[in-house]
Amino acid sequence: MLRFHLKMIKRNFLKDKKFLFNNILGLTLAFTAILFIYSWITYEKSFDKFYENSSRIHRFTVEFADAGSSRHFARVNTSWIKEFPGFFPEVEEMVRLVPGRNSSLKINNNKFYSQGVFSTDSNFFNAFNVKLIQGNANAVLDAPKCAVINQSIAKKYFGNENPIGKQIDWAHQQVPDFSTFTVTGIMPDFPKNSHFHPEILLSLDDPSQFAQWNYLYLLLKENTKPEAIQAKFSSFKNTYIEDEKSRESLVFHLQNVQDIHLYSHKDREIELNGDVRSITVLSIVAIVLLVVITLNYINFQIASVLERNTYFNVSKTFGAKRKSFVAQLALESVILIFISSIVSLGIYMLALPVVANWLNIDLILSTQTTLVIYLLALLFFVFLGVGCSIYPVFMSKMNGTISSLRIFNSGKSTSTDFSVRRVLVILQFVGGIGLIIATTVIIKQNQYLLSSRIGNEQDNIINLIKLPRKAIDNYEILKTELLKYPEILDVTATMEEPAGEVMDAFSYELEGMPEEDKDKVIYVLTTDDNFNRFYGNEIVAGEDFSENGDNTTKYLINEAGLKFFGYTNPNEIIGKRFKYNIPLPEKFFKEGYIAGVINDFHISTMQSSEKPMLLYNQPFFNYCVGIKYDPKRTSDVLVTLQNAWTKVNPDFALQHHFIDDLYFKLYKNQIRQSRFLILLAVVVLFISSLGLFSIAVYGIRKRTKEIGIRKVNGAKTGEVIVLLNQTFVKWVIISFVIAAPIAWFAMNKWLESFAYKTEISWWIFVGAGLFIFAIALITVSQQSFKAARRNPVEALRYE
Amino acid sequence: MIQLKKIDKYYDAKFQRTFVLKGVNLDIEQGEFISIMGPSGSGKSTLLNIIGFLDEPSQGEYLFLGDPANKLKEKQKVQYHRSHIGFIFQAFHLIEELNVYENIETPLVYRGVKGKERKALVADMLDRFNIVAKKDLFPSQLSGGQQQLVAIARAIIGKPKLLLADEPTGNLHSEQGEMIMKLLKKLNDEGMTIIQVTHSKENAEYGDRIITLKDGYVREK
Repeated sequence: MLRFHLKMIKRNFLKDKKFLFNNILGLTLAFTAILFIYSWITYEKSFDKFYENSSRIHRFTVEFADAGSSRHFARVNTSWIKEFPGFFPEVEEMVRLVPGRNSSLKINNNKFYSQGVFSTDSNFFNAFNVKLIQGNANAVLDAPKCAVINQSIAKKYFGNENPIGKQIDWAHQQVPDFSTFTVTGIMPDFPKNSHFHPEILLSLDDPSQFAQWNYLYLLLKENTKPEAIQAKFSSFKNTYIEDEKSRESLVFHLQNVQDIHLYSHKDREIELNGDVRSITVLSIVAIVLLVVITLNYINFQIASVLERNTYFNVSKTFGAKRKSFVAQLALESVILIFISSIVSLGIYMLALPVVANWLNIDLILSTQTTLVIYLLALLFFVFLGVGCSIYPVFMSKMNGTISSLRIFNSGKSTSTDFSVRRVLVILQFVGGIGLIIATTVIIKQNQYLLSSRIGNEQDNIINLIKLPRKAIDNYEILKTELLKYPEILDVTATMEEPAGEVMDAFSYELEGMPEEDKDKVIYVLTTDDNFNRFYGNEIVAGEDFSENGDNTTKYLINEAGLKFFGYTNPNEIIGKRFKYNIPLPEKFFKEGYIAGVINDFHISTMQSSEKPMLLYNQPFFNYCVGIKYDPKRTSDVLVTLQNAWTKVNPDFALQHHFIDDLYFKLYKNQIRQSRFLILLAVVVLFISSLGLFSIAVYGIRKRTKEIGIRKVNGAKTGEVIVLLNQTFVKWVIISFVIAAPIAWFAMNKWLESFAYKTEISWWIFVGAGLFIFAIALITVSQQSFKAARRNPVEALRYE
Repeated sequence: MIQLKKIDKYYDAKFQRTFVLKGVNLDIEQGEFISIMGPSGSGKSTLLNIIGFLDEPSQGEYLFLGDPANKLKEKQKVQYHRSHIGFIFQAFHLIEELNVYENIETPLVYRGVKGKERKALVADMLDRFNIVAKKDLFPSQLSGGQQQLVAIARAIIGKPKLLLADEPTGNLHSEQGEMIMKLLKKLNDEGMTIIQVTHSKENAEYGDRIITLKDGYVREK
């Protein structure tokens, strides 16, 4: 019997190669796409799970819940954290990780910058359970001026030499002069799915005295729940924080290291994190894909069963059981799924490096997971295959044998089959259209984010960011040097680079401010006097800084700040006395007045609203330099810049960034996601078209006689095509009517999570509709053209 | 062998009941060759389908070998299809994906006959119908008469006691039709009960008895 079934399946496959190919193609594409989606989700969820004790490592963060504003930093800078190990016996290890923002380094004669330099406690390797490649994990950072470098740095700067005992010179913003460290160990490179990537770890000079900004990690003892520590937070505060107001405004948080990548969006994260929303979006796409391929499969399966009606019914007359048809169809499903999964696995393996590279992530999927996916897919589709076989096979039982006989006698399907299949195709297209609209909106939003920059002047700018102290001090010399060259049009400086975060906020005194606002804080961004002209910011009221004049008492405020201060008319705030309460010598921020109001410019991510902030002309904190150049002489610019830099700052390497790259990096997750979504939308659309194609072929085949008769009666080819197409076109229109409002609603919801959002324009809907319409028309027209061109005699003989 | 008592077959539409068969009484003995005649839509095929368990009467009693058909379970019907009843059709209904040999073999596969025995039985059938040379051809490569030969071979390979033929010569030209009718007659002479539906008076004469249906009523001649 099995052999007979196999023979029938083989003959069937061979008889309708087009259907077979389409079916396998659809399944293969869907499987491959689902594998990739699953891989990506697995990757996003795999962050920081590779430590043996991940579940025990927590990051401690503090939220400053001041009146009217709340800031939650990923790092802490208070001295009382040193009391943690004594106060909480549940803490096994405490590790401070102090970022060396854009460290300047010298190894041998190489000068370079690194974002991966951290000063840390000597127990780092124990707490994170990192096995060293060279050196004793317990001792490498015990003494001051010790350094552990990762494998890549070792290979890049020491080559075949043994780096142990060699020296590294290090400086950064807060450490103006280079200090020398000795390499005592080599650690492995941290994997991509780590929320931070240290390249060089330095020992602290005096750990017991250290109290600067740092990321604080606590390794809890085994079987200790974080809640046990959280319960004692308030008693800790009562013991170590004297000021009652501070006690109230500080909220302590513990965050498991595995949750950082997806769920942490605090200020000053150690690196740019992912977003759990991306997983939601991908899961939805996976579900749409699964639904579309399922509908497609049902469609194919029903068509294929109906095509074999005669066979089934004749077999019944010589005693074949329904069970045996179902068995045959199930076997057919298994074979189809098997072929498709093997092919898709092959494609997945081949495409994996390309896709991983394109999306810049590590896609990891264990053999075990892959097997489980395939087993589930097999079960699912066998179930489905049997399901859609049972439907027509058992239909006869439900309605009495007569309906099956009617099919049998006329060799035609009933109208119910056709309408079931019509619903399936319509649903598929609803998925396709919905996904096109959604993808377009996502791309448009990303484009909008990417195109919004500081001010209106945003092209042809090179930025030097997070400069070392000495280079900041030499800024005016560098500026004068650069402006000697005609290809350099302008030079400015600011505290934060474009796409950076403005993070420093202090309490203030503003003339006429209400008493209850005295604990409020407002952000500050220091800039050069030409900052607004350079980036094209608009002066809404008052005046700009004067270039080459005295600006020490002038403060400019952005419109968000104006609102924050409770003003609606920008002119009213001009001239109001202003003073920052900053714990710094008076010379840094002098008492002064509000000299001007500027428009809200987007220095950082557009996912959150613009912060209320003041601009102040204080060169000491201008860590970043902006250089505007003549685009016609781009090739000269880099040479000029390199020469000027080497002349002014011979000790430091030059690291430059084009402004586009800075923003690109800021939105890299969104860009990655939209790229992937485009790919998936294409897949879904393609599968939907395969479904339409199959039903078109089937539907037109059934109307061969009608076409013949119409032609005999004088219908032209064009008229027949129109006649055949209009049914399918109607379906696409129905799909559009269903999909458009759903997509509109869903995308509105999605956009709500952005502070600045693009419009969901009408053309997206029209475009998506026309696009699908065109695809459907092309798909169906091929078939109807073929059918319409046929000689009517041939068509009639067919019956 | 077959007893039909007051058999009705009707379809209910919204406001109206349409009868296909009305009060059909019929007794058929083993070994008979019955021809059912009647104009289009008189219910001939429906009657044949009811006899062959492909359809069920709306009312009335049908006894097959003394067993009431309405009490037969699906399994028993399958069993009867496998061992007692063979069908042939006007449109032949050969399985297009299978060649001549395989088409004839199919009923045996469903009956679970072993491979060796199947081979012998099919070979015998091919030989008997003189189509050995055609055994590897597919239905589309055969003439109508040849296709009907194969269909008959397929219908009788299980040695059914009853052969139901729905206009077996309807799609054939007269010469081929005559050949098929002679073959049926021969099978009947060998002891097979045959019920055929036909339009042709000439073909109907091959039967022992002609039953005429008109508007669902039986007029036996």
